[in-house]
Amino acid sequence: MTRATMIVLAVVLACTTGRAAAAATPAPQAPKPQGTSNLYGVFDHSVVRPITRVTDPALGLRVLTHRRREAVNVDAADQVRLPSTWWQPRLGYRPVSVERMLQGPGDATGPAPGPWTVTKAKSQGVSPGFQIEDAKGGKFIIKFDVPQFPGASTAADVIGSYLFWAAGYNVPENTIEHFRMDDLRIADDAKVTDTRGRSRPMTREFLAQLLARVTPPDGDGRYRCMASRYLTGKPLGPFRYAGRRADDPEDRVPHELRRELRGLWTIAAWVNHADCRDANSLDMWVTDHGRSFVRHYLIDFGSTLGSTATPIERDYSNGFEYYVDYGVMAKQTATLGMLRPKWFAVRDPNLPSIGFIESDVFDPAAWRPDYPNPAFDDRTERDIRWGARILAGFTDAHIRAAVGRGELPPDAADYLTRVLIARRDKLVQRWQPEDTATPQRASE
Amino acid sequence: MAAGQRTARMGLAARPVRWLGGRPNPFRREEPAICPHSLHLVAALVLAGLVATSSHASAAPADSLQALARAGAEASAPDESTAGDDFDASWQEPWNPPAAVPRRETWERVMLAPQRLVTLPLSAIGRGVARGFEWGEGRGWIPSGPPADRDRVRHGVFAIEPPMLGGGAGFGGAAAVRYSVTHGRARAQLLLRHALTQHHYHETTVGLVGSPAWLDYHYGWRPQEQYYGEGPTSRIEDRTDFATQYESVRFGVRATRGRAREPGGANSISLYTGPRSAVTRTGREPDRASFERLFPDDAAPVLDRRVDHEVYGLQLSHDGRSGVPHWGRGWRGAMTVERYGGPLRALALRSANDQGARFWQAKGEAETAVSWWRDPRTLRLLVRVEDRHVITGRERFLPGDLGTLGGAAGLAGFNTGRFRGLDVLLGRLSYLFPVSRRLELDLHSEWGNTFEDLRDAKPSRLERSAGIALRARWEKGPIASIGLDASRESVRLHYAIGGVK
Repeated sequence: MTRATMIVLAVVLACTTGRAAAAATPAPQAPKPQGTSNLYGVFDHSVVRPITRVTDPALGLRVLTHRRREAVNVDAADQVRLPSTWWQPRLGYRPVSVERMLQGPGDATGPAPGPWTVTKAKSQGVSPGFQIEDAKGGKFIIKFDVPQFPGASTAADVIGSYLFWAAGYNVPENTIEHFRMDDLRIADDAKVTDTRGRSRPMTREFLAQLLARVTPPDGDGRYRCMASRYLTGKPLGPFRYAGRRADDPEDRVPHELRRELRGLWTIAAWVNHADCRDANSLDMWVTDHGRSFVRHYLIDFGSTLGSTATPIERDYSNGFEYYVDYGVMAKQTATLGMLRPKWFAVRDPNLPSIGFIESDVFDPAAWRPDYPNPAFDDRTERDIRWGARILAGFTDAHIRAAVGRGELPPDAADYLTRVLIARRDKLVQRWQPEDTATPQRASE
Repeated sequence: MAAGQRTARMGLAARPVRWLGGRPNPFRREEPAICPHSLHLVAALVLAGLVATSSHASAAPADSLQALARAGAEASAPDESTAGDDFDASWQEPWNPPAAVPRRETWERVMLAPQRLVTLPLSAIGRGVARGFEWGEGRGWIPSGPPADRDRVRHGVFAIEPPMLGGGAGFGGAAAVRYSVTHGRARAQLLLRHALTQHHYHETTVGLVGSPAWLDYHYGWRPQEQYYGEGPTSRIEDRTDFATQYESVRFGVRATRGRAREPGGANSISLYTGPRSAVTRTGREPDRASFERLFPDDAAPVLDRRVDHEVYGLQLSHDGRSGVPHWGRGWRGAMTVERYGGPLRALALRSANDQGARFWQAKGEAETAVSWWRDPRTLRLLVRVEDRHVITGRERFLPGDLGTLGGAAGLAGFNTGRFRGLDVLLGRLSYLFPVSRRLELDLHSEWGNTFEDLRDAKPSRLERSAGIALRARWEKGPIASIGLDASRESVRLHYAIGGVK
């Protein structure tokens, strides 16, 4: 058989098979929703996975031979193969005007003017909140700040959503809003989920109790909050940073081998998104342009920028160490705790509206989330550089504008802008040395 | 630099993958060592596949380069931009490999196969636990975050809790119902609690607890209390046990000022009184001699005799501790003085007989700490003194009323209940330091013993124990600990979930 005959046969065979497969493709079914456990997640990622990685001979061999596995969804130019339901090229790849960034994933208008109808509330968790319908029927999740850190968590949620959107990720539309108690109506069927997960009818007294736990209202009786518009589609629960959704036919690349997730490390390091974990993601089953598929979102940026929803002292080690960091443990145990960690040197800006984030001690090569993230663990320099390229696309104007949407006091906004610019520069200079021409000049 | 120039600089065509420092990229794939003929065949197959599925993939460029280069070109000429809103999330069928990519390459799977096989049961357990937690957290049965401010929400009245029946009681749990009757300054809570453990320890509490007054009733059964004899000369070889059954009613008033962890700290004074009835029985520990066999002289006057007392008590306490994630500043102290007098006929729970010893008991405990650095390294010093003064009936003093050391009561390297005596002296020096954000170590050393009289306490007669504990901590404080304590007699593992300070 000649080579030409072989090729012709192969083409015919492949065409036939492909058509048959296309004709037999059933209507897409929504994958089964999946959940995640916060507590087990901490244990798994802090204890189980580190042990399995240390005892993994194949991984050990890769480390020894400097042959770490690279992301698999990249092309010859080492860029994410498109289209992607995880990421869309925006800053770093295309110019995105500040105005367009501020439009974000929606129209950034937040709830429509008029009364809010509270439909559901939760009293569990550290950050109380409720769900509303605005006068036009738009649905939103409402979140608040703890009294100790007014504005910090809500600002982080809003600023984070703009920055991650501009970086290319799918995010919800978050805005800062203000309302009075009189603006709230309670839906007839509104329920409260209490600390034990039980539902009961909501009362105005409950709302008053809930609002007593948040940052007090301003002089006009207006409460500050963050409104996050419901994502369209059917929620399927969080995605995992490792493995695949086996029942999603479009999910064929293990997530820890996805460039978009491995390279997310760089963006997370920039905004100190130490809480970057499964629970802060969401898969939605959407129908768009007549096609039904799973779209992958990053959600809940309330813990970025060093913010915390917990009413306690700041955690200065946030971003410097894992919750359980075996390297640090070995050193501290050996020295009976006499080793001064690097983060001891950080200075607290003493701005209640700012979580803990700084740029002086920040090490662009050593940032760590709260606990190991499988996609971050497997990152290579190529992944980090991919993220750094995106960062290089952020101008000072982008950063200043995004921070402005957090509606922080002027001194806090100035500090945060300065810190984000400095952290961006450190990351870009470390990982994209050819881009060290200061990126902000492009827009100024 | 103009925006256009800058974008052009970032254009992909001008951006080959470079490694830091200009070194050749060590990960770059070299030319594959495959027969070119095979490559032709593969290329033809891929091409044909693409043609066949073009109706699905027409919107998906074969190589992202094309799309990005196009984007770069558009960016260079903003006026011609077709961006419109193709900044929006993509709706197109995503790029995917022809088949699902395995998480590990073939050689890795082969290498890992034996390990996977061996750890299969562990993986199954892990999956089961994960699903269990997921289920519990989804229903709110397992708190999924730090319980900040949860106490302000007064909906739940039923709780499952640790048994809190002391060391040696074994695994167990408690069910409690708490219902707030009044709130504010005169707050009162109706309490019904029952605790039970694997060694058949149990305790029931019913009461109206709160401030400024409380009234409660306790009934309990402790079947395997360890007894080695009294005083510092008791021997490990003489291990026996006894059981004790007790019930009591207490009425008390309390005045408090300030709150813990706030400036000035929490201060309180309590006065209380009430009858108590107790009886000492034969120990129930399997294969263990009961105390009447080895200590007939100690046991004879008390075994199976019900003893009633009227108890009068005064308690003063101060808690001026502060600091997170563990307290490292200030001090706490508590002083309790109790008189176990003869029973009052009108109030006696049972027989109102007068067979027991009458005595005074004073207990004092103080602890202070000093810490340094941002994530605190802390030295703590604790001193505890107990002094019992018997008025009448020393021989009828119940073993369960004696001061105790060993296990969780102090001198943790010794068995629970290892030392019993009228008076107790205990000192403890601890050094706590963080080893990670969520873990800290507690190195500690204890000295102490029990005596017939505190005047017998001499440094040479103090027993010593030392240990180490790894403590898990959350932002607000430690939540659990596990550790080892060693003494001249034993090495003991201990653990605690909740109640760690």
